[in-house]
Amino acid sequence: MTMGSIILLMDKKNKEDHVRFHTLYRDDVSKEIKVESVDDYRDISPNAIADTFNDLTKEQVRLKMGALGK
Amino acid sequence: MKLSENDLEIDFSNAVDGFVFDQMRPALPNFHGMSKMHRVDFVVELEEAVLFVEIKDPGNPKAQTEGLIKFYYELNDGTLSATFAAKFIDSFVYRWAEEQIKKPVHYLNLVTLETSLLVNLSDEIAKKLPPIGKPVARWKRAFLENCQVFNLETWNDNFPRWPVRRISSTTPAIGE
Repeated sequence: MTMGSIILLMDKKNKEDHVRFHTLYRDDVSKEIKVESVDDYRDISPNAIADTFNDLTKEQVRLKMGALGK
Repeated sequence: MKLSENDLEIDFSNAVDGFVFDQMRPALPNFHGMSKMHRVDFVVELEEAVLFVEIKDPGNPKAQTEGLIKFYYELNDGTLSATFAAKFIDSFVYRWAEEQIKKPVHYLNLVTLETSLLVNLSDEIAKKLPPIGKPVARWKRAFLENCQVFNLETWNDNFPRWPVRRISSTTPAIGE
């Protein structure tokens, strides 16, 4: 669910609804599954989804634009 | 060459030329004059290419809820990507008629959304631009070279020579 979907959802439901984001990840050291909970999607860190999209964006810029803007 | 759209300013440091394309008041130096045609915000000429740049700023701290709801509805139902595509096509036609399309054109969009939405929006816009994802064997050249959507963070990450900043902020937008 994205921030945009949240805003549309909030528009339809009670204004006092509260949304919280939970991310599950495996801790590198302990190897245990952990949870991180935040109120703002943008506070999720590390955000594996955003990191993957960042990599895709960079790769497309590299392929299509070369050194432009660098 | 610094160009701004409301609260966002981009410094195209190595541009040969550039101007605000969306100028609809006759007194302005680059008056567009065709209100029925869609218009990108900026046209920037580089040594080797031309950039068409469109900016939307739903992440503006001063954005009103009503405007945001409209924006996200249009994002979800495809209206936004259709508008972005129309802006490119109409701007291309206008610049072609001016005999100013002589270099490869890149369509760069700056939309202050979270990163995970950018790639999908990029693809949606690209699919609405000729050749609609289907290469045409008879074509001799590309209509456009690249169509992508960035937010402040990914823009600055990918284009260090064209830094964008939020004007109302006292610090540069990098890392915002």
